[in-house]
Amino acid sequence: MYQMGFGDAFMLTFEYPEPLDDGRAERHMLVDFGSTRYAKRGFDISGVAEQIATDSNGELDVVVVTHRHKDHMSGFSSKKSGAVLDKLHPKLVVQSWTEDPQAATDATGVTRVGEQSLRFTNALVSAQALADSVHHDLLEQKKRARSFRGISNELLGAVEQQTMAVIGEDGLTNAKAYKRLAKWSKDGDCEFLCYGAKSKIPDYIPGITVDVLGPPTVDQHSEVTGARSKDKEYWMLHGQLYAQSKQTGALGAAGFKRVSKSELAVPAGPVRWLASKMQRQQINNLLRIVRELDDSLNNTSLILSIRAGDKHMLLPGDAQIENWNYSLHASDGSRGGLSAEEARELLKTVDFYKVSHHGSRNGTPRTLLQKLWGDNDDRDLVALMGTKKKVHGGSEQTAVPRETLIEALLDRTHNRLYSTASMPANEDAVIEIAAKLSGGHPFEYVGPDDIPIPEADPTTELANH
Amino acid sequence: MAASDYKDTREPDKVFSEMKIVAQDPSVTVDGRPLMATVRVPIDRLDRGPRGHRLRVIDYDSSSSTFAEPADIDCPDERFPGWGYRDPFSRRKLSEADLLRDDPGRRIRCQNVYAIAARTLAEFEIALGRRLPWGFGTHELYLVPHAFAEANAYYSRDDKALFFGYIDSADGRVYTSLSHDIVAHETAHAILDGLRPDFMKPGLPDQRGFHEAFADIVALLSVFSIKEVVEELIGTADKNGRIPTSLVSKEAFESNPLFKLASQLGNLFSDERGNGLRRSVVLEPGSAWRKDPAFELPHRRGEVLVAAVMRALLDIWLERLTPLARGRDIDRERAAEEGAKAAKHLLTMSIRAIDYTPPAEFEFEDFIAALLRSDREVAPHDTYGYRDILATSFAEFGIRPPAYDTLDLAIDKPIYPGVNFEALRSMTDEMYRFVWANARLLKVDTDNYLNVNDVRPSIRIGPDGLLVSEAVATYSQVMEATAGEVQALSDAQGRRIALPRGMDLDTPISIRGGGTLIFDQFGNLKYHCSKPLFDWRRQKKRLDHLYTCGEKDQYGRYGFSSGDSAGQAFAGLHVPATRAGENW
Repeated sequence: MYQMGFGDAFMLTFEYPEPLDDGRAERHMLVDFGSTRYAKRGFDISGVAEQIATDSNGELDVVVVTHRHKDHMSGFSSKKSGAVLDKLHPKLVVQSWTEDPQAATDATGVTRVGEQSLRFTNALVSAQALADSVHHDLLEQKKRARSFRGISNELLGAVEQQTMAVIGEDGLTNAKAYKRLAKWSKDGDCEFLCYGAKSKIPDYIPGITVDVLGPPTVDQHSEVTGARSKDKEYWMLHGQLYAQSKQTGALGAAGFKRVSKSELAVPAGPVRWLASKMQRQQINNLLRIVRELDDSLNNTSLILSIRAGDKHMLLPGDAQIENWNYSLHASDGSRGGLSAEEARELLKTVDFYKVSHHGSRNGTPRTLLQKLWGDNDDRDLVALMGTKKKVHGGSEQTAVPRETLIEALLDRTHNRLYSTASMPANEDAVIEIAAKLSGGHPFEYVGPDDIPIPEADPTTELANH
Repeated sequence: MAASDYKDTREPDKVFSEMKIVAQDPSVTVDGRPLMATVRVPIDRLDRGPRGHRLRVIDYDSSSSTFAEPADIDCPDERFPGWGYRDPFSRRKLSEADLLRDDPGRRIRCQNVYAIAARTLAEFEIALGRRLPWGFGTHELYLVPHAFAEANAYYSRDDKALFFGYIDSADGRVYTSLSHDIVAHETAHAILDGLRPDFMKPGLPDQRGFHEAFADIVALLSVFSIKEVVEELIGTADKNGRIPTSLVSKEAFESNPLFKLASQLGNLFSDERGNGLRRSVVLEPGSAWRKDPAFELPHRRGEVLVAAVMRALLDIWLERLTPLARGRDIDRERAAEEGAKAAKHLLTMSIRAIDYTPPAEFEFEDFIAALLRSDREVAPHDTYGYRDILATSFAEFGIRPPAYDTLDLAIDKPIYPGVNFEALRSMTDEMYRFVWANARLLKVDTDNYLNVNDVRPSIRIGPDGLLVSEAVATYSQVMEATAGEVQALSDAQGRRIALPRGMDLDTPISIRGGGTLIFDQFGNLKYHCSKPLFDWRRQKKRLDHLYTCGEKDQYGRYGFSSGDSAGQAFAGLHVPATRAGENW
């Protein structure tokens, strides 16, 4: 796992005893490459790309982009780091069904991607337009105004963080990153996966078994979307209202200006008092809505279970409860893939876990950690986490990483939880874990030396606001 | 003057006005129209809004920052402006489109939130026999029927308001202000916050769960006490208005009316609302929930209490129907009426119980204890066996009245040196004098913060038909110290508690206690429900819970505050139900 600050970049390398058909005795799979907050000032992401090139010996077999968040794909849009990766000629690009619902339908041959799912992907586009607009305004206002009346800086920072994660490096469409992925797909191969789909990864990395445990399509599992966020209308309403409140200066009342037109439109006295209190709460509401969008996108994360020899690795991107729920509880097997019962049995055997969503409170379900793994405490488990403290969360409840989860992970892994937050902030820093694939050997920690385990940190203020 | 000449020109003393409300929500229809009901709300001088002396509708939308002028109120008598209320919709047949479009929908939504909130407040005042203060200290609670574009509705103590959101979906616009259960639910939060402000402080897992459960219970019983709703739920009657008796069995009730209601409630907000109600109906009795980590979280925990009350409602209803259910069929209207009555009685009982709960450190056991005790006071002869049914239903979920470690009033006689009975009924200082004098007997610690929060007179009609005037007081206790100091103190008292694994000895923590005192009409103490500050078993349970849930404030202190932003304490209570039990 590479040092991406608040982000993920993770490489799986398989070494074979004999050279394969092409004469190489190794295969490399890069899972995500992005960050919303680097580990230090002046961090050069192309340095990480160089390290990836070194580690893969110049050839990438598979690139997985779990979902369209900047902290998982910004490395693909950056010109410099992208150019380094171009030279590695990725052979297979793997993405979630939401990135190309039509292709996903064709690829699997099963029409799981139905009308509801298409509606959802349409909704995501409207949602991103809103997030883009909010984010843009926040940045503009920040430049102009020094203080925000009545709104805590934590909250504004949180809104900014949320929106920043949603929109891409180069605007809402992540155009550059997608252009690059499309080119690799065209030169090589690509696939768009949903729960239960058969992946082509083993064609490129022989000898491994891949199970796609998420995301389900909306037709497979309607709860995978937020309550209302699957409706385009929902996001369009928010977009309209947001534009309207900018015109009337409602957000001015929320702190950008001293007195707003909208406040003056309300009779003086208790009504105006309440209106101004409500405007201040509007930021909280905005935050919840953007968070809902954030959750929706996280839930489009691929969850890959990869088995090689007697080892089992679980890579869930930023999957949250709603995505997990299908494999853990809801699937009856009739809509493709494993039933929940079979999936739970499979998940019990995990040896390696990439902590979902940077250690947030709803990335790792309790069912998974406490029930499936907690009840099999004799099985060795090691976990890796890409995160940076004090980036997300204005309160103890929303802080990432979430302290109570960290405690539980430390407990279950017997302190074998390794976090990028505790490793050097260098471009070439890599946490390396290795295991022999037969003979029941546990994963061993390789380096860097002296990496401390993540400690619970009581301070919650945001680092840079 | 001849008797026939006498004419009283005064208005008869009206106590209630009638207002039309949406019986449940616009999705529940009869003959293609939303099911409406007419409810009685206490008479008041109504101003535009509607606005009475306790509730004020303010039509401000913070998402679009638009303010709508309140509509004029039409009152029946020009001599008394504002008194009484002429409902513009009383004779009108309303379609779903009427409710949703701007005119007349906006006005209906304003009337709907006002009427349901006023009715709910009246239920509480009638049950408790006194006026009830809001939790924020002033008189008016603002009701905002179009508060923001969000599938959310919540009470905010800081803003003195209930906010009702709306959203757009592919099926059109949906207003939370048109859902009877949501309006009643939020009103119940506001009233409970006035009665038990400390229930929002960090406490045992049951405490926050209770806020949610109690609001659900009030909402559900409030909807269920409307006869039209129950009729609609029972099923279609034959042309004589009768239904087969097979529809009035416990199995039929569980699978039909109650389940149907629970699945309809919150249906408009599929994932976020109503799921708790839906799940509580199917929750199997037993005490497995106590060991299930999912039930550590307030929302899930609340379901247990809702389930116990709902099962009791069905049993009580059946009990009331027994004399009617002879033969092959039964009059649907009568059956519905009995259901509505049972719901109303149970609602009154649940509300009355609040006075008998401790002001802090609440657990579910305290609720059943309070239900039984308070009901025994007003209805010594339990004709329909309500209390047995409730006790059984709660016991099935492993919730039994606790034996409060307090005093046996027959042996331990409190002393009243210099205490003035009249002052004791109304003044906190006088009540404090009593507590101080009897501190040892009441096992109240006086070395730490000790305060009498309130003293309230409560007047009710006794079983003999005469007025009974009692007084209810609550006191609370707080000790703020470091975890190490608290541990040392427990050790010194011979009950050393283990701190949660990983908790630093220097961590500031706040522990709480408190009690409720009830005095009879002669000013004698007759009931003491106590949560001693130094009940170390309970304190350890609370500390473990706060630590496990990471419920600490921004300074990393446990037990002080939950760390919510101003006005947001209730905003996040209705998380998507799918997450309950899985979050960290």
